[in-house]
Amino acid sequence: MTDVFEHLDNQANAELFSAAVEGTLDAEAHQRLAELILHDAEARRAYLRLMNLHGLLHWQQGHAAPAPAIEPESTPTLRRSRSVWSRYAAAAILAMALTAWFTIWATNPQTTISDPKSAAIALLSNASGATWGESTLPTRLGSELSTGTLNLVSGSAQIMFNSGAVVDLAGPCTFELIEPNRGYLHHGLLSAYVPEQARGFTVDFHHRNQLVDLGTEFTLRVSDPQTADIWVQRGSIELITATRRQMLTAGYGLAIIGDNTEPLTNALPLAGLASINRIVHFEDTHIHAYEGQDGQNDSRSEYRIHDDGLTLQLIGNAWKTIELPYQVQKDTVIEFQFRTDHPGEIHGIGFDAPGPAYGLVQFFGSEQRASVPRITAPDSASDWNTVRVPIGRYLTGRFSHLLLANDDDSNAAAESWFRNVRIFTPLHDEQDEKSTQTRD
Amino acid sequence: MTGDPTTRQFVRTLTAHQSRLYAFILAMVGDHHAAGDVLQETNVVLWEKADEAMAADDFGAWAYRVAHFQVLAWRQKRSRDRLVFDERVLAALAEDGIEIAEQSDRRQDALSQCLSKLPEDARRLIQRRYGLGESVAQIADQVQRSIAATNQWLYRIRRDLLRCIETRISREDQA
Repeated sequence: MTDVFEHLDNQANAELFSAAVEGTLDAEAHQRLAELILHDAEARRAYLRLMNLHGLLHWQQGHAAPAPAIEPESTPTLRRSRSVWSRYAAAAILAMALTAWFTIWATNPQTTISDPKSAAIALLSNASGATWGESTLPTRLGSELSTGTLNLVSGSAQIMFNSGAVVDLAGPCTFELIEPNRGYLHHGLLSAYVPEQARGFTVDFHHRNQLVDLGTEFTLRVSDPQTADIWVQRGSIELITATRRQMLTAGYGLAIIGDNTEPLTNALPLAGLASINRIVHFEDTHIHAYEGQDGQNDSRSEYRIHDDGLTLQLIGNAWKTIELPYQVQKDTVIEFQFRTDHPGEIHGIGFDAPGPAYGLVQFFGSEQRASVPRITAPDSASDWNTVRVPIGRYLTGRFSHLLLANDDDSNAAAESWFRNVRIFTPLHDEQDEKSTQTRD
Repeated sequence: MTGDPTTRQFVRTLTAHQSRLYAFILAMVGDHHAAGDVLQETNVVLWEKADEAMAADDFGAWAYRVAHFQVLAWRQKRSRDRLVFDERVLAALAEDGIEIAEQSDRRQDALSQCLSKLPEDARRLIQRRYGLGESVAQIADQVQRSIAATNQWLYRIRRDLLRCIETRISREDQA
């Protein structure tokens, strides 16, 4: 062990190791490091220990890696085959790998072990930053879950039903497991990924309403005993209420208010087609300042999260990035509802990635800059407007963050409300897929 | 294949191996974003071959082998101007890397203890670098030091943490 520390303390090696950890090696230094690793076993062990520590720090502090983006380019057979679903389910379930899931071990040492006598109908397959309230089920990661209630105060958790249906919960949320292919959402936000074999997966809500899945992906938010929102990301679902049965297809959003319903978003032209679709869920830990613009010259910059994370309000001169890995393709679209009582210079949306690569498209605001493309925008935005930005026309490739701009350099008094932000990429035939040019 | 008892067992085993696989991959690819991507690919392969994986005598050995292949595949896809280790270096790192990766759970526990013993300013630095994901340049700007000095400070903290971890582990082994 002493030799290992000699290597770590040795100045020449220390510089190499430090640069390796920070990713700042130049070609010549990289070559020297390679030689050292290859020919000096002790140096190799020192390097491995240092990188292990580096990895554990990333892992423990929750920045190990982004949750997996589902990348169409790597799954050219994505449409409609069964293997698609196993891959989807894999991506969904294995999101657990990429978040600091084991914080739950540290924060919940007192969690109970499930009673082996009660039959398990699901598994707690992931948790990220989860704080649990009083629950009748065990909340330790990997627990077998029988019928009962989970009360998630904050953070997120994932449940895999025995049927194969996978459910993501975003706190605050209370979810009850009823049967191997059925649950009840008391309140909160739930996203379900349902493979073919779990067709018929049902989520009850408001005591009298049901969503029956027909092999799909959907999101349900129950805000209070009278109000709920539904979005269908893929495939179709059936909504059954006391007064109606209605089929909802991909791209469709519906608000339920008491016994009435109203469309939440217009069905897109791509409704019914398969699409890669994300609903943006705003969380404190995932929102960062966009350096160089946000709060420039010490101007005011604030954000507030509303609607359990479905609405973000920006105030002042605020440029924010939201962690959201996404492969933007040429026909990727961002759709959201927008309003402002205090228009600023530029209201824009786009994507950001480490390094200089970023792209912003302006959809509202008084200023015009040559560097920022602009789409036709509403004249007034004092009430909610649905805005659809064909972002893929302006930039493509893999991005790590969504970028939201509420630019007001002169007064820092602007305001933006973004609600129900969704990102779509329609799926193509294999042939089209290959011809899609993306930037590396 | 989701949902049956074998699958649950598989998910549990795979979950238990995540931090180890991540550390193993990171040492080879160097960059933590790339390590996340390679881990994701590794998980997909393991998932698709879950039956085979669960039938293997030693899941860990099998998983490391898959991860090693995925690193090689990642290397192939990398453009030539990027700095990546050649196959011989990767093989050497893979061989010795398993042993240290296997200790990741113990090292993680030790790290938590060691972090709590750091001086306040050092702990804040680690939090900014890893927790908030700030770059060295950003931190240097905030703490009003040069980038080189900030790098050096970070390196020293890592070295101290490592010394603390090694001491704890060897003490445990002797106990």
